[in-house]
Amino acid sequence: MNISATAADHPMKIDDSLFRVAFETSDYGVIFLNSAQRVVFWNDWMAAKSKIEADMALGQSLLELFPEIAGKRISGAIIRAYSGASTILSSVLNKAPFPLYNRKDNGELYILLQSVSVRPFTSSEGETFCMLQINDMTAIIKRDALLKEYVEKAQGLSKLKSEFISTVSHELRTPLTSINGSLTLLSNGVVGNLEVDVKSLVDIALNNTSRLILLINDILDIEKIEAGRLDFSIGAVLLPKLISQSIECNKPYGDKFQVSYKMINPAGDVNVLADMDRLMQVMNNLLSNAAKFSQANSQVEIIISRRDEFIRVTVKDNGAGISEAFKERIFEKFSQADASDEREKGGTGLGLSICKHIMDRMSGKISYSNNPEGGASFHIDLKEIVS
Amino acid sequence: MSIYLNPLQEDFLTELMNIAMGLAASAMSEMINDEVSLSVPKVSFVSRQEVITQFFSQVDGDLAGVSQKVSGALAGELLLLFPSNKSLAVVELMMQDTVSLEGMAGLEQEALCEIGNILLNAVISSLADNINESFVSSLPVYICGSSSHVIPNNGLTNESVLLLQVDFSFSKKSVSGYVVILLNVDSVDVLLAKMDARLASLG
Amino acid sequence: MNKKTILVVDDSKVSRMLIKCIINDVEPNWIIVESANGDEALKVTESLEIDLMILDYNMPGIDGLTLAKELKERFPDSSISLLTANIQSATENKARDLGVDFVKKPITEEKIKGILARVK
Repeated sequence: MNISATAADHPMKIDDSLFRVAFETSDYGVIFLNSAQRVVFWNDWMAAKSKIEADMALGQSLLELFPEIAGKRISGAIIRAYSGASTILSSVLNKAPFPLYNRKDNGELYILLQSVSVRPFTSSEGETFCMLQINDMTAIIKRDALLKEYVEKAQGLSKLKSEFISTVSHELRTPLTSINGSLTLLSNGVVGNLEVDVKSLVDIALNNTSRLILLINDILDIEKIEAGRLDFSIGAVLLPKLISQSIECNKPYGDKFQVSYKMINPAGDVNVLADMDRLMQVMNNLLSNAAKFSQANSQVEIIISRRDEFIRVTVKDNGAGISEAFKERIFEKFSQADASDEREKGGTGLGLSICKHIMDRMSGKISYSNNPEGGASFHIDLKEIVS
Repeated sequence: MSIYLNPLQEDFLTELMNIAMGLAASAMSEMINDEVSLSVPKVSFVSRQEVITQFFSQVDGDLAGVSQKVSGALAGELLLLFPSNKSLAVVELMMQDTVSLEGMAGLEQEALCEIGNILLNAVISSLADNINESFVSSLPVYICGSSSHVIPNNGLTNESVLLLQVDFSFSKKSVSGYVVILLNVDSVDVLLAKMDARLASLG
Repeated sequence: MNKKTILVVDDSKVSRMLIKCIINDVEPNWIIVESANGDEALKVTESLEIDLMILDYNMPGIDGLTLAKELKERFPDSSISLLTANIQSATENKARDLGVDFVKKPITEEKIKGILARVK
């Protein structure tokens, strides 16, 4: 379509009568009053909702047509319009300034909830007119009320869910701790040496109760985080020391997968802003993930570097890297690269989600990238504290 | 176009604002069933940028409220502003109702518009009456954002305006708000001429 | 005509000028003493007899009603009017409780005449 070619054929001015038709047939009420406050324009919508036809309304005052508006805010607003003030009567604070009705599908009449605006206009001859515009807000108000009801219900349900999770988790943890304790004693030969076959069965049971306890702790943590109840005590943490401790802690785990850890720190003694225990939790999670997904006989590197005002800790593994599909949900709850894979290697799928929450709370960041030479690197950024 | 107010003119405008805000505060006080305390009016010629900067340093975070245009002898903009995290609380107070969830702000905005409309019309009509002038005010518009978004400027932040401002707070609840009037320098000449005539007649 | 002494206290010079102007028109013989705040007013009235007081409410220092209370003790036969822009019912009630006349600004000839009539 070539617009410029046809421009000359079409009028650039719009006929005033078109405006009149537009107001006449609009889907909201329009009334014009002259300087004597008498109706000089009454559109179709007004006729339909008030059951007063235009020829009956013209020449009357609104007080004559609707005696009930006497002394109400709408009357004051009309008078004030002639002094120059524009007024809005919102549906929230004024339910139904005018008696206007609609019919429901079942034939029942209901009163319209309205929003009314009143404005003065002065003609070129100096006559002041008052224009009223009336909008039907009934549907919007109903929808708003329904929405509020639903949100309240949802909030109530959410609270119930939180309480439920808390209670159940605690109830599960207590007996599990006992079971774990007994099995540990058994396995360590405290009540007598176990035969090899028996010990291996006991160890399987012990590992699994440990896993269950970890899972419950993770679930409780996530629940606390989402309810905003996880306490943090943020201060200065000596980073290389914390990383060494984490490596110590995870060494047995790494050995299981034949993976070793090495810290590379050109930055010397660096202090960061963090909660020590929570940061340890994040490091443990990253180190155990790295071991799980690395090839056997490989080394996981923990590299400290500086990026702008942040200190970055990179945990670099030699595994398969992060797949495209997993990238989207990597920090979501219960997301694992491959469910079956995970069950073999253990893990709750909550770890990275918890890490992200913890990093957010400490005003830090967590991110990842795939290494060009293979494997993935997880980065956490923390604010440096320079003493 | 004078950009200097002598002490008597400043005094006169301060008194006009006191009277205008007295009416508005009285209306507010009835709506919220609480006493409203008013600051001493601020009256000065400033650039729009200075108004923006003043609010930026005075209020933490965004502002929310209502804006109306006024034309006639007094021409410019009328604003009723609150810190945005309090605006919903204000509507609740005025409606004496428990309302609102974050983001369910459709109808609450409409209510705030009406509240602003009532107060700002009271203020401008008092000012106009007291200098025997007429005015025309527009319908209220909900505004929200940083001070440079909310203080009208059309990009002309260097433009000088006559600023009339009164800060107010509710005694019982910790809500504070601002009534800000920005008058175009052209319309101010009329105002000053009227004031000078009145002052002269007092001898 | 009985010469009366009137105390006008208002931090706005323009308001004081306007009140004085109207009083001078109605009662040119009456003496008008003006002050910009409560402390000044108390000092200036130490050695005078005051028949009528017209006080603003919102002023720096002590407010109009606190001032009214003090002045009422000093001049128990005098008439006191609070002439103020602060027209909230809380203020009006406090004035009523003190037995002080409450008049809403803006200042007009009519209102001042009404105040003067109370002391004639």
